[in-house]
Amino acid sequence: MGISHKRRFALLWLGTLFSLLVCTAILTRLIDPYGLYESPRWHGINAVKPRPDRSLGDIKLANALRMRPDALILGNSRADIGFDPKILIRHGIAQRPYNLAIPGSGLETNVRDLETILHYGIRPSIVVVGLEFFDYLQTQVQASKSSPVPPANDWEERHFRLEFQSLFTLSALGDSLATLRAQHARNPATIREDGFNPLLDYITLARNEGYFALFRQRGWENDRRLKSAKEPTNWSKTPDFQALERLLDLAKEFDIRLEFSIYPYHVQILGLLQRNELLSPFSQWKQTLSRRISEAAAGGIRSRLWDFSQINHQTTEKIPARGDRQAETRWYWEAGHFKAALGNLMLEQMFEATNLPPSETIGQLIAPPLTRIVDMDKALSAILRDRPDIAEDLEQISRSSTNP
Amino acid sequence: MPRKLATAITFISVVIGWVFFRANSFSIATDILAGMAGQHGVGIPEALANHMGGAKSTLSSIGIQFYAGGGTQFISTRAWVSIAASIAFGLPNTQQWHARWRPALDPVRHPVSSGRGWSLHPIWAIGLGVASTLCILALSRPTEFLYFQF
Repeated sequence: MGISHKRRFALLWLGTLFSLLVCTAILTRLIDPYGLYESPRWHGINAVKPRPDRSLGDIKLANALRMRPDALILGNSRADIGFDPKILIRHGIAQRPYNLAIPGSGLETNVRDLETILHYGIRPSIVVVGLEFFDYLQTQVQASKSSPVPPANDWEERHFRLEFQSLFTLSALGDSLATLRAQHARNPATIREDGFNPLLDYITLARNEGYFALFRQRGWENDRRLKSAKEPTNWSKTPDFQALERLLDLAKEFDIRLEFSIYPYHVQILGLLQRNELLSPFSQWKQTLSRRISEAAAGGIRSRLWDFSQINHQTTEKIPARGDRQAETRWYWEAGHFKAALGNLMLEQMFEATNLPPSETIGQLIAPPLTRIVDMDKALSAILRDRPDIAEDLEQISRSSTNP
Repeated sequence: MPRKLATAITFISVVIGWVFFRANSFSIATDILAGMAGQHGVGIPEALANHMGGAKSTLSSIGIQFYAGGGTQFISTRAWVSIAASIAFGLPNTQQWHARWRPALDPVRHPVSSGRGWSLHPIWAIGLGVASTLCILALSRPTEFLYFQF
């Protein structure tokens, strides 16, 4: 076999390799599935961006840096799908709000992202922060997941890596093809330009499986998580509380208005807290937060704390029956994740933009001033007596969560 | 030992080994193995079960549970594993493809006939180019199985 055959083989092999790499880069750059390059958005081709499975935190941060928001929403998946930034525009509170909440993240990550935003000269005047009680508890899940949060000054390196991965990876190629598919899908999993996740894919999920299945599945997961949870010996020493201190320092230094929000847990979660003897620690946690944020406010930091985990019309929303795939909920996807309909009411109350009379408001301002937190035990027990459907749901979850 | 039995024992041993490489602790690894052996029950996505008609109640009667979500992932994972398994177990290995070029000192058993084996034909060059591209594009993926986690 002559040398020309070997050379032809090598040229054809390398030519195919480089041609395909170049084609991949051109395709991913043009489709721009993560919205990183401000590529034109063509209707029917790439106008709708799919929600990526990987590097979502870095993608949202990169887009926030490009957008230069004047208001930010921070938190975990509850804020990611519950707080629609558009409501802030509608009420004239901000012009370029961005939802920088990252699913699965804690306050440490949120503060790190805010530090990066500030480092690049962006000055959001308002920051809405969702506070997660689960994150302050010590759990096995938390212990096994604990990984150091990257420092805020490594963004250049992370951004370079993100850009490379957005051009030359199978994931980027797959997401580019997913972008093409998403244009014609009925309820695609998407991420909006302002970082909000409308969770359209859950509409299909709920239609196929029913809301009962969503509530029950999450109920099991939450119960298992709470069963292994322990109250910390000192709330103020927890990593999330340290992150809160850093956030208050940043607010003071850059004159940021902080609106803290305790998420509106559905009564299913409140009931699981009660069954796992965590309702009293829940109140103590709120009390600690109320005290610290009141002190911060007295020290000139523009900060307020809202408690939305109350027992009210919304948080006691009826869970559709097993097998019912027609019923739709109004306020909750499942017990931990509220819909934007409820998130909008919360944001309107936080920014005094609500039209509801005080008797129908859904949250309570608990700092400032320092507010004495009343234990929910009695009120919750009363509602469970009035609502046998919820009591039975909790009983079934507790009975079967170890072996669903 | 029959070849198929030896293959099965080797494969199951490797799969069990993967669990210890991937788990965060020994207790988690044993817990996962117990789950793989069915000690934590057997479940399939509710959405999938809803398409099974009468079979759903049969599955339920033998103790199979149904859970919310994960239907797409359930099917795609099994589809990819089936494709990979059919390649790994059903097609010749690299030694057999290259038998004509004497890739090892020992003789290769069951070589691919010379007309279908690897050659300098352009189709192989293009195929290799496509495979090389996929390998390079997959380089950034995490490699969880390289190191022990504990």
